[in-house]
Amino acid sequence: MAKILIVDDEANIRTLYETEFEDEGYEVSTAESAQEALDIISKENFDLIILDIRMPGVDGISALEKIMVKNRNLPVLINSAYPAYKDNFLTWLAEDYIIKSSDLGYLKKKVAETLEKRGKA
Amino acid sequence: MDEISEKTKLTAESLIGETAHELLKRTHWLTAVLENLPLGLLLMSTGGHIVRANDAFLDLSRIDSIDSIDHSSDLAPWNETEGFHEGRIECITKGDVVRKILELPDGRYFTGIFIPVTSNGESNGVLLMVKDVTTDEVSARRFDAFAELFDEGILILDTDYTLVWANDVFRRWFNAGDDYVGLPCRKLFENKREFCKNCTVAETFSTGLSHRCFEVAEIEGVGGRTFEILTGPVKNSRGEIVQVVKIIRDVTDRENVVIDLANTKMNLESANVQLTRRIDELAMLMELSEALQAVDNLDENLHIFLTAVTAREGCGFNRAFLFLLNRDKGELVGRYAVGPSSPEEAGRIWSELASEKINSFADALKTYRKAMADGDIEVNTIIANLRFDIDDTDNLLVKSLDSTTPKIFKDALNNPESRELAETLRTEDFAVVPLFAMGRPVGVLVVDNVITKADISELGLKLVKMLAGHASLAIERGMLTSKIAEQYEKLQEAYEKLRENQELLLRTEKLSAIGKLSAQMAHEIRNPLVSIGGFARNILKKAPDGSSIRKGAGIILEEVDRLEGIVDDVLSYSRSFKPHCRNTDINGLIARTVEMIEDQFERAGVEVELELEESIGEISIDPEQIRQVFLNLFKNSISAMPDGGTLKVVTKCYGGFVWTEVIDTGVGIPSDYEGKIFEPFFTTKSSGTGLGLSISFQIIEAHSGMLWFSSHQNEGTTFFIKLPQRVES
Repeated sequence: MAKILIVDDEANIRTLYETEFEDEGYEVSTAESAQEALDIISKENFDLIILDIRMPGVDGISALEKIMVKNRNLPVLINSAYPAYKDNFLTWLAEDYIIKSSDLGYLKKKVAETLEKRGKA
Repeated sequence: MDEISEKTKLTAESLIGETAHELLKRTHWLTAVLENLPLGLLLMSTGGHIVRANDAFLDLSRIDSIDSIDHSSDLAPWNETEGFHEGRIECITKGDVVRKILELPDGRYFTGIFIPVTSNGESNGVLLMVKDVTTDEVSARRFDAFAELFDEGILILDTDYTLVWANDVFRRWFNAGDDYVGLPCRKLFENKREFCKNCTVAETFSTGLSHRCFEVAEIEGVGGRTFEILTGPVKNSRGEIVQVVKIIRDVTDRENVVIDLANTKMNLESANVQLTRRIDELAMLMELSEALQAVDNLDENLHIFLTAVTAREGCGFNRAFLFLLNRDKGELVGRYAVGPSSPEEAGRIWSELASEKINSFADALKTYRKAMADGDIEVNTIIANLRFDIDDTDNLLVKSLDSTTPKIFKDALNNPESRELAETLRTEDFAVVPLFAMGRPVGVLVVDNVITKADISELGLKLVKMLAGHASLAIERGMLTSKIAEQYEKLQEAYEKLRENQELLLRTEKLSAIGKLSAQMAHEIRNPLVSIGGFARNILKKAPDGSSIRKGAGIILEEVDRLEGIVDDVLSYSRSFKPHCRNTDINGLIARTVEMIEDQFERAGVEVELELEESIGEISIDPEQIRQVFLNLFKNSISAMPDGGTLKVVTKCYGGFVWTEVIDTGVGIPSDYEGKIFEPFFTTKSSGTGLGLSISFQIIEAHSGMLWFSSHQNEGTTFFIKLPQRVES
């Protein structure tokens, strides 16, 4: 069973994603800040991370960079309400850049595809 | 004296006893005479020893006494006097009386008469008689000096017509030499008989009057000279004529001067005529120049110039054709012409002009322009269509551009070089004058006398050339002025554009600021929407079919979708409107959009009519974006119909495009706003961002379509949307 870490500062969104992805059959952990996510990653292994960008404290892009330093092979899907961060080339380190939507269909599809590619489905 | 008397006494006594007393008496008498004569007497031996001197001699010599017979010690002043010894020796040698003028070192003059004293035919010595003539001699010398100052020949003749005195000039002219005194004048004038023909000397002797006459004589080495001869009498105290003074003056040069003067006068007179003409020309030039300066308009300048060329007070040509060089186009273009079209018209104009009083060139300009107001039509018709490529160097006019002097073409129709132009201008003789301004050719002028058939004069052409000098500058200036005006207009346009761009920039900056703000807002809104929509979906998934919970969750989802679409639009506004196209039933989309704001239509009293062509089917569009467009248009039409009305939406399909019309019966768009309604932030509503139509326009454009409108005040507005009928495979 693939392990997913969801990083988002909004509790409602964490709850929604947790619910939805657990429904999909993944083992879901959540972090409410980038720093927390980094702490968790240093202790646990995950198969995929869903990462918000705009968060208080360390932002998603800085976190992405740190995660990549630790483990280049860990797939990260950026999930932001804001498309403008696509302009920051550091986001290219991520597996994909997905605009937040209430329709999680696209995100779920991407998660599934990414894990399948890595043989973790 | 004692010595002499003693000697005489002794001789007398010893030689003749009886007569001794008589002799003694005579000697005393003689001595008394000698002593009382105002003459200095000096008796010298042949060797020059002093024998005896009287008191007068001592007085004159300023010597107290003579103590020795040695003249060298006692006759000091005389020893230093030139001629003293020479006179004595000459006298002895010749045995004759010798006269000399002796000048003493103290400046006095003496007449010296050396008389030889002989005894028994042998020379014993010399008696010198001296008389102080200082006064006479100084006068004489003054006279000589005076006489030598003159350029005239001066001579004095005796009653027997012999020369008494002559100055150097006369002696030189008439070869009189130094020994001229006593020469008869007739001899001097031997080869110059003219001098004797009307002898003025005889005239003067007989009448006692002065005379004047002129004679011509040949002077050696100089040639024929003209002399003015004055003769006057010299009279003694009794009024008798004793001599005649003659003054001969060479007046040849004066004569020449008179002739020269006459010539000069003639030259001056003709120069004066030329000068007057020149002044007239200059005055005309000045007036032309002033007239040209006074106007900035090129056409006006050309008219003035050509009028000056054709005015009688100007260069007086019948017609003038002006061709100007257009450097930008590389053409020589017929620009302007002046002149009558027929002899009849010329007659009318010229007789009209003759009745006018013309005082100046400025007058002439005015009058000519009035008289010829409608007289130039034909010549201008001729010239209007003439243009020559400046690379066509065979062309007579183009060739003339490079020449600096006017050229006359006579009998031009029979000259292959000029035939074409002569035929065009309908003339036989003409002249071409190149025009220059600041050393560069600006055009050519063609003049002729086609009406009067008068010869084309060099003078007239000279005048044209001068006029052209001024006119060319004015033409160049005129051309520059119009060029500047053109540039100014362009500049003005550019400025206008710049201003618009600046405004646009301001709007864009405003847009950017608002864009940032709205993007931030959108971001904030999106997160709650994600939660709302996400849970609604979750509920929808789990709620039983047909249940009211499921229906409610569905509506929530739908609205969240719409909100998310708007958020997307706002977020992407300042970025691109790149549509995410998928095959969409546009008719269905329109119907659903109408349904979405059904309540609003109802509240506004707007009736909606749909005329949708069913054959359209699906086309590849971004449904979110296109729905946004229709929503904007519909909402705008509701605003445009505050008192209700009808909104009609029509779709058609032909020519590979889907045509949609959104027609309302509203107030219409004021014509002032027509160009602005698609600009961002332009709004007539009190509430509204002013982004609606701008976004719509960009969305349609991004779909390779077109959005436009037509509007009539108080009748309504129709928006047209044209979208390509494309289907994604």
